[in-house]
Amino acid sequence: MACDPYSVTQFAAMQDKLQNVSGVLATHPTDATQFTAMQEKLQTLNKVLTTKAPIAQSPKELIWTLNKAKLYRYIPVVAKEKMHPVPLLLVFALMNRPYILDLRPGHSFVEFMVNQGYDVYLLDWGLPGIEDKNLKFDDYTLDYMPRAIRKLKEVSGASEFSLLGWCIGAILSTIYASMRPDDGLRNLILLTAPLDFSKKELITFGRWTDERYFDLDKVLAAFGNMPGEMIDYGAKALKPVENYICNYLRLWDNLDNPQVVQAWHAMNTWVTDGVSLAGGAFRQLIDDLYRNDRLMQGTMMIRGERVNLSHLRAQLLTVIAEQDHIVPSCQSETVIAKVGSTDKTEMRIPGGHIGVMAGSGASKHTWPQIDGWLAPRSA
Amino acid sequence: MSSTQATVGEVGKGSIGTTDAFKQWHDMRDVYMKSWAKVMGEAVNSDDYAKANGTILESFLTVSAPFRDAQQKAMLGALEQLNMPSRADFVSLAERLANMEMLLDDIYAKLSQIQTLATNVAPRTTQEAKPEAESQQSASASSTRPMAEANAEAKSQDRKTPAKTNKNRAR
Repeated sequence: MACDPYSVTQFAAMQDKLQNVSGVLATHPTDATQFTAMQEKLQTLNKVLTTKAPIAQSPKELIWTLNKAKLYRYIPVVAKEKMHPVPLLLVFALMNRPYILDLRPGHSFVEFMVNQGYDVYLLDWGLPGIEDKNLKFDDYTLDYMPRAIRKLKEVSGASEFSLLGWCIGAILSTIYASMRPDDGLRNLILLTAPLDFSKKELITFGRWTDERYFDLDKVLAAFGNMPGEMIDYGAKALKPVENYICNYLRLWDNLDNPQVVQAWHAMNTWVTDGVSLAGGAFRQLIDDLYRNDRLMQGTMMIRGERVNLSHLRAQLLTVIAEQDHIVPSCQSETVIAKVGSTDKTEMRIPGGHIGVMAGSGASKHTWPQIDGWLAPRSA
Repeated sequence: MSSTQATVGEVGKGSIGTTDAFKQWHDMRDVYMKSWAKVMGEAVNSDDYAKANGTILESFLTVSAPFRDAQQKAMLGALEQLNMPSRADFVSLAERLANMEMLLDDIYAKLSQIQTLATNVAPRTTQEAKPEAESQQSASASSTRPMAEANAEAKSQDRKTPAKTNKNRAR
């Protein structure tokens, strides 16, 4: 609805009518109050559906770019002597904007960690164009990430760092950590990581992209990159009633509650800001992972080198969202047994795929737990 | 809506003692939505839905492919006629630019490394130069050359040492 100009025109016309009616009904105060309330609600609805919320407000500076990728450093707020010496790099998925980690002031994981004294960096993969259709996991993990990390070390002055990967970012982080274990990675945090694709009956995306139903070659030949709109449809179609109807009903029911409206507006701004997924990476995601589970099988090849999870030696925390319907918990549970780390922890937290980190309960249930694990390991 | 509900509720209680009609409607709506969501959730998680999805996508791609190819060929022909670069030309340029960017990033990193090494080496060089100068002074004093020449040489060594230090500091 946010992109539908016809709805915008309808709402504007309704507002004009209500203004005329409220003038006529000025002699009937009770009815005028009701119409005024309705008018305010429609104004709020119009604003929420047609504008973008102010998001990603934490102050940051751009310190490195490569092609479309950008590395940001968040401005520290804690005195240098009180900061954790080990910097933290955040890596999100390839097909969504990473500012979900910094959604809005007071509800931002980045803001929380900066306040806790971490030197926080964010790797923004950017918006791939048609010229990036051949980019694969190989490029992201062996070209982009090492260079970003090199810059991070130069700016921070640290030789070791922590890495937090969420969703597809967790796949990239796991591959990187397994292939470059001696690059200074001390701590690895995986959030809702889709790593194990063996239980196909529990993974809806796996069913939809099965070889019998989904012609990968045809899709990529037509589009080059996997369009963001199709990815968005896929994510929403997992729970169609909740995403296409209940979501808007919840907004309608709470239009006079500014807190709910602000939260909804911010989340909707992020949801509607989708990104295409580079064709090569999408092919690997579907063929190597969803169809053949190569990472867990130990047969995944990255630039001619086999990805061996036992080479991953960083201290590991894997966070599982218990109500995650996009990445069921079975996909994140088995990595603990495969890695070579001696210090490894699994944390189960109530919440969905996004809600576990960006929902209303994240600041109580998730962030302090992550900080509690990471702080003693960042000394 | 909450103020409207309150108004209706007050009227309802005062007049005929019934519960809020809107609240009842809301509850019914929520129950209906929950059951509908459950049914749809199970439906989309089935092989039939995956098959239907795939069929629709396949049909769209198959039907649109000839139009897409024809449009691309026509556009390519038109651009050639106008002596203008095509999309493929721009894509090729962009790929080469990305590679160049990567090389530049590597060069910058190496230069930074060299600069760091040079900065680390410079103080050591200054500290090493003093004992060297002193040993040269003592060597010149014990040589068979005339004393005047030895002194002159020692003085020139002393002059050289401060100059080296200044150069290193300037770096």
